[in-house]
Formats: sequence, C-alpha cells, structure tokens
Amino acid sequence: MTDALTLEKELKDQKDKMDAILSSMSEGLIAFNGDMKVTIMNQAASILLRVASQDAFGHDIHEVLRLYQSSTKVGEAESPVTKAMESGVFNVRIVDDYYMEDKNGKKIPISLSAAILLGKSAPEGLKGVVMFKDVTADKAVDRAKSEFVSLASHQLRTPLSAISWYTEMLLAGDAGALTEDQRKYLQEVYTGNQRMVDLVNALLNVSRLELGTFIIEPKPTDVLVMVKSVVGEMTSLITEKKITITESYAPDIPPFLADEKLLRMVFQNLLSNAVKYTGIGGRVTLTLGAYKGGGMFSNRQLLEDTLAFSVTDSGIGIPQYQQTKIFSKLFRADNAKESETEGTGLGLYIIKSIVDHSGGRIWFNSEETKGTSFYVTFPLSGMKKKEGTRALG
Amino acid sequence: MENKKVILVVEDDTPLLNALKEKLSDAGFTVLGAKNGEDGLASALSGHPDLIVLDILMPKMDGLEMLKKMREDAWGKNVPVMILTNLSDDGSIAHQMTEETFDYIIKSDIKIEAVVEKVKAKLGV
Repeated sequence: MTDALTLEKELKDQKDKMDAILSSMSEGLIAFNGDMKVTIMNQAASILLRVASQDAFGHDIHEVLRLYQSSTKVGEAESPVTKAMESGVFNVRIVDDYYMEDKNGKKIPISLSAAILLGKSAPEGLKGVVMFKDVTADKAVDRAKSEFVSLASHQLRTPLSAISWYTEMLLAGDAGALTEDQRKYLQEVYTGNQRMVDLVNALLNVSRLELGTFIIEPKPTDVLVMVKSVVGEMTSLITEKKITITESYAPDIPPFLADEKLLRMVFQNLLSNAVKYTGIGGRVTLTLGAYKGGGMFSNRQLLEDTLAFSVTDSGIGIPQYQQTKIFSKLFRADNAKESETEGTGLGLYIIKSIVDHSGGRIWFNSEETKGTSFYVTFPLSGMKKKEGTRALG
Repeated sequence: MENKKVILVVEDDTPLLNALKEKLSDAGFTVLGAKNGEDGLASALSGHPDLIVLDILMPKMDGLEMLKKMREDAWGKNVPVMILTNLSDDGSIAHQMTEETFDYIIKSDIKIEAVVEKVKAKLGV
C-alpha cells in the first residue's frame, strides 16, 4: 500500500517535472505516435500555432503543423517529419525559408528540427518529436545584413571600375609610353584591383544565396560542351604550370536540364581550385558521365539515373582536421593559405549552396600532400528549378 | 570628310564618363555625354546617335526609365542600346532585352577596350 503510494507520488513528480520543462521551453514541441497522431504539445507550440494542446491531440502531425517553403505548401511526402523517418533527424535552418501556418492562416518563419526515436529506448506510443522556433527576428537581422552587403557591393563596383579602366588605359600607353618599372607597378595595381572585383562579386553571390533571391532556371544544356569550354579557358594556366590534364568523358551524355551559368560556376570553381592547388608538373583528372539504372560513383551507390562529374588533382590536399569545415563561408585551409595568398574562402561555400539548392550532391576525398577529388551528382532529370529575382553572376 | 558614327554615353560618374568618352573618341567616334536619364533622353532625341551606352542607377531619371521613354519615340525605338551598369540584373531587365537593347554588362567585369570592341562590332566598323 505504502509502496504503491510512493510509486504514484514518484510518477506524479516525474510528470510534473516533465510538464514544467515542456512549458518553460521557448521552442515549440510536438510529439507524435506511430500513427503520426499528436500525443504531446507544449505551451510554446500552442502559442505559436494558436491551437490549444487538447485540440491537437489525436490529430495527424501534418494536419497540426502545416508548413510552407517560401510560398509553396510542403506536402506530406517531403515534410521534415517524413524525411526524418528516413534519416532519423531532419533540420530546417533559417536559410531554408520555412514557414508554419497558425490557426488564423498567418505564416510565421521558423527553424525546425524533427527527430525519430529509434530502437528499444523509444517509449510506447512515442514515435518522434518536432521542435520549432519563431525566427522572425533572426530573419530580419539576416536580411538586413545581406542587403547591406549587396548595397555596399554595388557601391564598391563604381570606384573599382574607375581604377580598373584607368589602369588599363595607362598600361595600354594611352597617356604615353611607360618605363618597365611603371608598367610592372601598374600591373600590380591592376591585379590587386581585380582581386577586389572578384571578392565583391563573390560577396554579392553570397548575399543573393543567403537572401534566397537567386534564380535557378534549367534549360537543356550540352554539359560536355560546357565542360570543354571551361577547360579551354584554363588552358594557359594549365600549360604554364605544366599540369597533365586527363579528360575522361562518356560519349552518351544526353542534353541535361541545367542552369548553365550555375553549373558552369560549380565546375569552373572545382577545376580552378584543382589547378591552383596543384604544383608544377602535377596531374588533374576530369570525368563526366551519365549513369542509368543505378551503379557506383566514387564508392557511392547511385539510387537514380544520375549525371556525375569529378575533378581529381595531385595537389596539396585538405588537412584531415579541417575537412569538416571546407564548405564553410570564408574558410580556407591552413595549407591553402600558405600556398596561395589569393582566395576568398567563398568559392566552395557558394557552389555547395548552388548544388544543394538545385537538388544535387557534392562531396570529396582528400589526403594532405597527396591530392583531392571532388564529386558532384545531379538527378539525370535535371537541376531543380527555383524562382527568385536575381541571377547569380 | 568621313561620316563619323555618333555614340551617346549616359553615365553619372564623371571619371567613368570621361574614360568612355576618351576611349570611344580615340576609336574614331563622335561622343556625346549625359549625366542623368533626363539629359540623356533629351540628347538622344535631338542628336539621334547611332548607339547609346546607358548606365542604370542615375539621378533624376534612371536608365531603365529613360530607355522606356525613348522606345516610345519613332526614332528611339530602334536605336541600339548597350546597358553598362554595376547593378546586377534583377531578372526584369533580361526580359526587356531585345535586338535593339543588345547587351547587359557589369562595368567592373569588363575591360574598357572590350566596351569599345563591342560598340564597333555592333556598328560594323
């Protein structure tokens, strides 16, 4: 009798504790069972959704938590909960531009994390948890920051154009003949200015990526022609560095639905990195292929018909301890900084974002001092279209 | 006397306007300049240049507004226009690109010599 009472009290204590934790959380939390029905909803979730928790109980999680990405309703098939069912966890960040719709139809920007409880530790009747947070304020700050970068970059371009054009005119002898030293110094001014132009362009691209205003406009593209033209542009540097370039292209690549400008940017960035970070007399290998009915690409099983390319070099490699950061904004590996002073740390960040937004995948293998391979795949059906207001360039 | 082709450069930044004027004159063109869309429009409609190099962000009247007004004119609707700006295309501009508005170039991405080459190519000189 006493034992039962103690047990009951303990249970009540536990429940009170849990309730206290749940109700004091600033994030909204909804838990659901194996039938996808809501079993727990905390106070923050109620306030955000404008739905009393008892009104949500027993309803389908997708019905309670109605999500939009930009202005498109997120269907059940591609909802974070469904995706978490496949991979265990699924996160939605601010840049993913997700909104939840409250009871009155108002859309609130959120970040979100969905987790599925697996294995024996999962309690009866509890399948998974979704946590979400109102990011209206974070978004405003983020937007202000990106708009500032965009505005500042436009303003920077005018004086940069003046420096560039007048230096070019001096170098062309428009204001009279130059001495050898004058020419050399002016060339340094020109090169330095060009670096600044590149940096401004990269910052503009980053701000467009982060604002979500960039467009992906896929059109039928001959990828092989594009690849060859990028290689052609790099020929003088490749020759200068006596790099042996091996090109292995499949003969049967169908026209691919690509935003050519973006795909070009991805390939161009990888090839120029490979050439830049490979020493004199090194090797760069390029492959391009279309894989139908599965197959393997760089040790990965392809689950669908795929367009794949790779860029492999015998260069300086990415140090093991920095490999997780290589796609981060403004990050440059220590050995990269040492071997090449030039570089913004934005290139890989930009192309990763392009690949992610257009439905592709990008990954790499690398060993310091031995070399690096980058791999990129897209569904053979094409890059994913994205509406927006500004082209990257 | 050779019949010289006339280029109108509409650009509010004085150093850039002067550079363009100088380069295009050196290439044998007669060059008119204007520092905003209003003056540019007046100069275009009175001077009937053979080609217009047009900036977008300018005081009084911007380049796109000037272009719109000029295209309403019987002469102005056919004159070739090269947009030379530092404003990245917001998508709306690409839609307005026609055979007459033939190029959209970012100033900081192009050599001034290449601007001259493009003008020459368009006018076939």
